[in-house]
Amino acid sequence: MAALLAALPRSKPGLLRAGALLATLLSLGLAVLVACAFEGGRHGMQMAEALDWVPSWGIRYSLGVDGVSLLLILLNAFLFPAAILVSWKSIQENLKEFLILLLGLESALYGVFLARDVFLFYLFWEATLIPMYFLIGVWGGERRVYATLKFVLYTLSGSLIMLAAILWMAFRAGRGQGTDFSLAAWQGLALAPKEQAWLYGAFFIAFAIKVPLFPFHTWLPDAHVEAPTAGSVLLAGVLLKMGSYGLWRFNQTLFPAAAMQFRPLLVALALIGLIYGACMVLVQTDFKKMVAYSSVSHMGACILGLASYDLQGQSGAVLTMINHGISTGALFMVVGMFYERTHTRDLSQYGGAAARMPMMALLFTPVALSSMGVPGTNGFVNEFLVMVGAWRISPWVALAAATSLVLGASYMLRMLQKTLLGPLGSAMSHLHDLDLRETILLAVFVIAILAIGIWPKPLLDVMAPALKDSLAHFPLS
Amino acid sequence: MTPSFGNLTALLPDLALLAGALLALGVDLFGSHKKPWARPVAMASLVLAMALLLLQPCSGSADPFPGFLCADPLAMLAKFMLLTIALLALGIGWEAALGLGLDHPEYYSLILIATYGMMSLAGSTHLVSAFISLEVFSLAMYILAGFNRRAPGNREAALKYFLTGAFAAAFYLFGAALLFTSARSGGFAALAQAWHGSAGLAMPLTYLGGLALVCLAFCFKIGLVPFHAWVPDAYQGAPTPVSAFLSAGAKVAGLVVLLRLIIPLLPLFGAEAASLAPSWQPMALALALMAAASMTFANLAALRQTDLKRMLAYSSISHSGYAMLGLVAGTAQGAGALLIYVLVYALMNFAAFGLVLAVERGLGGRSASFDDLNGLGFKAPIFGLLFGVAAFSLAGLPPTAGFTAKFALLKALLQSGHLPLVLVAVANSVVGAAYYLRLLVHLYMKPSPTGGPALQFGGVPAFVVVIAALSLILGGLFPQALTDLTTLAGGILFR
Repeated sequence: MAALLAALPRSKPGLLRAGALLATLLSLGLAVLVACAFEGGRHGMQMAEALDWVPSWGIRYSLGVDGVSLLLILLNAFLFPAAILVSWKSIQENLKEFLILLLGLESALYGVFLARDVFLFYLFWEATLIPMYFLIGVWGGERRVYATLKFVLYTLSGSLIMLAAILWMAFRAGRGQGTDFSLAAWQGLALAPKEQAWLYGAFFIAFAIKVPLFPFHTWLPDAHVEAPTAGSVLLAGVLLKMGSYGLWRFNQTLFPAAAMQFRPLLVALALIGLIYGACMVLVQTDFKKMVAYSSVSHMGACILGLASYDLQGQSGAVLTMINHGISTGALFMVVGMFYERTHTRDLSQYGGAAARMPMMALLFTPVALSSMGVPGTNGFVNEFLVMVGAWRISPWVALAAATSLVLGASYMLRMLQKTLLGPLGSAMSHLHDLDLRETILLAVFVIAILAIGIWPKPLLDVMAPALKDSLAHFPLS
Repeated sequence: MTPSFGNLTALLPDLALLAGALLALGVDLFGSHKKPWARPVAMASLVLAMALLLLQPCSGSADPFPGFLCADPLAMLAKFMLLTIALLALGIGWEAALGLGLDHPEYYSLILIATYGMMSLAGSTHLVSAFISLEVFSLAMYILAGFNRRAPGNREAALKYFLTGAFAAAFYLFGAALLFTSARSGGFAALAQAWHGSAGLAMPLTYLGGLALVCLAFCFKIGLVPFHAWVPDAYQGAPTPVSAFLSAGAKVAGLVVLLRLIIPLLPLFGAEAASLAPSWQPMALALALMAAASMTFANLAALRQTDLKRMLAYSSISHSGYAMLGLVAGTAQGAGALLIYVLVYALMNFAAFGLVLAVERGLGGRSASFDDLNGLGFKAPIFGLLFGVAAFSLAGLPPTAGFTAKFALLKALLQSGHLPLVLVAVANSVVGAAYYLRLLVHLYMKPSPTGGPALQFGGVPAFVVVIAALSLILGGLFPQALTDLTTLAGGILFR
């Protein structure tokens, strides 16, 4: 698709945008088709496809879907048209390259969530770095070069450690006959506890950086703040999920003993991320940084849910991935829309927008409420399930996690208050309300937020078999 | 042992080059000055040599000079790579040759002679033939490095390269003499026999010292730390096509001959492994340390460079270190990975040097710095894209062949149980990525200066770079062909 786009002439920006939008919508349509063809109750991989690729190294080009991947590719397919629409006007320079990179990123992300061969997974995993490097570095804010190098080098150091572990596992799975990279072969391996611990650690570092878990999160505020709106939406919406998905798909199923052994650490880091992230939001004066740190907090909740090793807790975690993608994606779009009008992200210059932008107020409020986890929005469902999972770990953990709900409510309300209410801020003099494109864009997100909030069952049903499969590798209860 | 003639048809490609070299020197004495014939003759003889090489059976043929020169699959693969490298060198220097004062018959003739020397080195199985080949290619290279003597730094480059090279040659001769005295022969097979025959006894110091000195000379040619000091100056000062040719060609030839020399010495079997361990282990350790030091030191130094060619020179040192890891692994997989690595390195190296050359020509021949790249990515999209492919490949990121090569190496290394070295290589990849990505920062993320010099990118050099970049992408997406080829060639040493 990206190659097709390259053939379109540069002189016609409208055509380019329409072409890219069409491509992403087409891919959304295909993802929905996959979802329709997906058999909800069935266990294991579906629609698997496998071709020999590098037989001498035991590498196959093999793809397949289970419930969790399905939801993530739907999220991916949903966010890309939005990313193109949100940058409809803000990206004027080098538009063609921008759109090509976006489409390349989308393909790579599909690959990450669909790969059933670990070499292939790694290839796609690294391939997402290249477009993101340019998206932040070329179209980003003032400190974009610093931010993008930090992002890439940080992520790369994690992934290369993972690469060493992948090779190690491939040799183990090859049983003295070379290497085997198929995930299915890896899952049956009996590894000594000490070996598991090392391998778990190597995978964990790569994924923890991506999630990002405290204390590996320092790249995130920089990358988010400097990235263009579309970049932030996708970074928060899909790229971070690669980390949590990896923790679930690899660390949990391949190294169950180590996963139990490291559980206290995982819980502790998740809790710290959850609370520390929320506290950091409270003290920010930069609108975008607030949203960025709220990501750290939400992803902490997601990891806490994963660490419960319990069906409900993990359902909550996966739902957090989806919902965080939608809500935070929408929040970053709101930030972007404000920024295009005010050219500042300093909240002290904001205020009173509700009077000037009623439509923005109408759509921003449910998004913020969803991020807070108010009942009726999607955020409530996943927070509730994660709390159930946390309770299963220990009531104390649940208690600690609950403080984040209070903190979340306070920072989100503060965000609403600073932007929409109060006296008119100094940067708010020339505001005009959302245009039709922006209204529709945000409205679609709000509809998704409310729909999942009111009727989450289909999503939970789809992911349940995959989660049960994964927990079956587990010695725990 | 007196040399006896064997299957001389296996030498036809080499002979085609020599004939071409002589013809290229003389042909323009007869023609008109307007239409020089040296370049077409050089190209024709390279293509002819390639054709003659491809006509020979893949499984290798009988030795042309038994005990001195061989024509096994390893030699054939190396010769194929070296001919490709020579073609690429002529290609990226196609038009630049005129501007850099390179367009003399001697230039083409010397490129062919150097290629011949490298090819012959890759097929050498005796200390004497290796030395002759080494000197043939080095002498041609010394002159080539100083070919553009009016350019600043050029004479310095040639002189430094020559003086240090002369030291290396002296070390080699001394080492070879010591080996002769203790093994009573200079054939690699005889050297290995003496080594394995000493089971249970410590090897005499003359043997060990001789071996170390000979290896040292080759390491010097490849540019491994701590024998790398000449590399940055020589690469920066030499004409750019020559730098590219030298960095890729010397690596292929030098590493292949090191494989031939060292792999047969590996203590393979149980009892022997134990008895040879005290002699072998210090050597293995030294090789591993050199590889690790080359990667680490050169990468750290490259971070601080502002001149593009100097950066590429340090990058070349670090890639020598990586390739050396294949030898350290000491397995057939390791040798195969080493061969993949040098092949891929040659391609990405030529892509990078070709692109730098285009910038230099735009600057009127002045050497290019990072700042000269500012904003070029969007001004010249194809150029930027190609630079991107080269940079990602050098950094070892998928989906390029650079990743395939690095992956093959790490795999071989891990298989032979060198986990610490794997971690060193991995850490170095991050450092490497930092400076290769800086290229892209300048290309895409800095504003382009107004009224800056125009890029001179087109014609044959651009074609060559496109071919190299395409091969890098293909090698990244379909590594199977690479592994098949190198497994065959690398496996020959382990029979």
